[in-house]
Amino acid sequence: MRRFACFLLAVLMMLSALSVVATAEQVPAWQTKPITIRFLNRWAEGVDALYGPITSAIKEFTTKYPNVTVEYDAVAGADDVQFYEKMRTAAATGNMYEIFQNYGGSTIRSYVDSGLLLDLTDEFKADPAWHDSFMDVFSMWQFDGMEGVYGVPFTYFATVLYCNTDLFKQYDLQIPKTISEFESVCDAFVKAGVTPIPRSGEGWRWAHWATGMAMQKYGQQLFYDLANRSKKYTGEEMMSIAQMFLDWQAKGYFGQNIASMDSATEQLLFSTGKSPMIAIGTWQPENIVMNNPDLLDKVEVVWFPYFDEHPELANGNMGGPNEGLCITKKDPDTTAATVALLKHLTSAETVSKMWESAPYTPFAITTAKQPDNMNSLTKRALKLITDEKPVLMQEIDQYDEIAGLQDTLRNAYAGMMAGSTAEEAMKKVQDEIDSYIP
Amino acid sequence: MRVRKALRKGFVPALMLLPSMALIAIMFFYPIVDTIKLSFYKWNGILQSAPKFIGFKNYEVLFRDEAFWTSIKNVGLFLLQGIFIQGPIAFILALFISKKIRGIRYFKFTYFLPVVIPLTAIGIMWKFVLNPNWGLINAAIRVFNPAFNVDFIGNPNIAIYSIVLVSAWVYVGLNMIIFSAGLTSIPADLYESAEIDGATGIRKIGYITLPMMMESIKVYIILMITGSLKTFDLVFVMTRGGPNEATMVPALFMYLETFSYTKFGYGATIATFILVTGLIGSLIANKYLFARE
Repeated sequence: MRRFACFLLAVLMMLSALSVVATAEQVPAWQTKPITIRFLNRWAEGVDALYGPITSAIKEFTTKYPNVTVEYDAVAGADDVQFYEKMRTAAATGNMYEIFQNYGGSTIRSYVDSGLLLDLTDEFKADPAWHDSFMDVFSMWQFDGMEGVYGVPFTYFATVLYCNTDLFKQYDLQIPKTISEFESVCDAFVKAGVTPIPRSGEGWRWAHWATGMAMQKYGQQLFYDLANRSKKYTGEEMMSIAQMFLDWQAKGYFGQNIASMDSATEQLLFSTGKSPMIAIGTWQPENIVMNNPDLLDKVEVVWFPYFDEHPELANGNMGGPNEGLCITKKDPDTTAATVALLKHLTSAETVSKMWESAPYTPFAITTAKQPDNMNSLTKRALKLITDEKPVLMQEIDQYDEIAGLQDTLRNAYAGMMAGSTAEEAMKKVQDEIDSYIP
Repeated sequence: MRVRKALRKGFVPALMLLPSMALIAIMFFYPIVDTIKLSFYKWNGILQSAPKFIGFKNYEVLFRDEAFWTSIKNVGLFLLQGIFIQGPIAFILALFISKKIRGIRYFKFTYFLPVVIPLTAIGIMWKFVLNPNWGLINAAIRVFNPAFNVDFIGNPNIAIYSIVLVSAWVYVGLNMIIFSAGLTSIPADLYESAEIDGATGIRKIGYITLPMMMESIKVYIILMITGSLKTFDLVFVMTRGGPNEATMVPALFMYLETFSYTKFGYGATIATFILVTGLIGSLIANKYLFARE
């Protein structure tokens, strides 16, 4: 009897040991070994409302997987120049971040060409629900002549015109629908001693606006024509838009000393009720909420006025995917862990929580729940996008293959608003393209 | 036998010097050689992407680049400022602080203070001071002239002069110390002899002080040449080379071409130019300026 009991115990012990081994084999390797993921982002502490939510989401992930350490690194700054410089330095030293935020397009094209970035096609095939949870705005992470999707959209935006209805009423003016109405309104404000649409001299502000104007005057084909070199920046199209900005500047639409005004001041002027209009992305409500929430209900949001001679292009503007996330190819376990982190950050549950903490950033994840505490202005801006289904394109230089073209174009516009001519500015851009060695 | 003895004699010292020489070779010579080599390549700054040999094309582009010539002109402005503004003011302040005056330590500290403040902080501070809408200078002048509105760093015609003057403000204290060190090394009996011979104030400075300070002046000029070529922080913070590249300087030009436009080979070309020009300038200054006994 004793021998039988011992034998039975031995069998039971062996069976339980085998089951542990079997269970251990089902756990992916990345969940059992120490993994470090470095995450480069633009949402910095003390600057961005999304810093708290995203770091909480990361903490949730590392609590679930204590073997994974996520080092969060953020570079704030409205013009994202320093962010890109940090990213490029990391790439040059062969120490690229495992996951990093970016806007896709030309700024990451060279990384894709070098095989640095992970093609997410296989991940989407393995998890179609994850792919379908995103808005269909992967275009900035897909490239002509290359298969694959090299990133996911995270946030979404459009460039719109915010109008301070109190100031419009004060001067008995109507919200403009066309460019000629816009110019009339601006002239009236200038006559009354009010700067109609103060604008910063920072290059990205003008590059964004030029993109919207190009969409409304020439349509999206111009973007592809510039990228495939069948049209030039010194051509009639881009020159006319540049000259239009200079003409408006000469009329006093943007105020004085714009070269010295930064975009934060520009936003603050509107948010504090000092300027009648601001043409900017759908992130402006955040600035209003932080500085002057009473203004929210006194602001009307509309698409930027369309060209009188091109009503058929009224539906075009700058926008689409905003911030996206890319993964750098590393060893299989680190890459697998990073994919898991990316899925966690873009899950409906995580994004819904983030959105509730920062209810003014449109996310490109359709399964996330729009927060109830979203301010009325952001809701109206998002309704514009969803109801009117505009044709949106990202910044005009993003469709090119030249990585530095974005900086060249932005600097050219900044220089133009500081005193150079439209010809000089566009020539600088075209010279850069012409001297490019593939 | 003698050779063996000599080798044995030199072996231990050589061994002692080896670690520091290796460090200098790795930290100093290797980056220089690698940078010069990279200047003959086109590279997008991605380690996995192989650089492409293009010969002297980068140099051809450099010498045709308007921004490059603007940056050279701006270096010239920094040098002129050093000769005609910073140098004379630093010299006068050095003469002043070498006197035995009550409270002189306070003055020394005050003049030297800008040197110890980080350049980034100084750049941001002066950006605020020079702001055309609410900066201190415009606001102060508007008390007397309400229409006054000058964009000191946003106007491409005057931005570089504003930055050059800020640079003078920063470094005059440092150069005051360099000149002061030279002044204190001049033997007092030279001045006594000169006084006996009838030399007064300005003649003493012209015939004794300046010639005896040639070593200090040489140090000042070499620092000025290399400093002008290396100017970066102040311009980066205040204007980033704008508006319209009007305040571009070689070091910032190199940085922007490398990290903003991802033209690492071209950036290396600019770096090589800065190195060679700095070396040549220092050698010339060293050869033609010497202390007269």
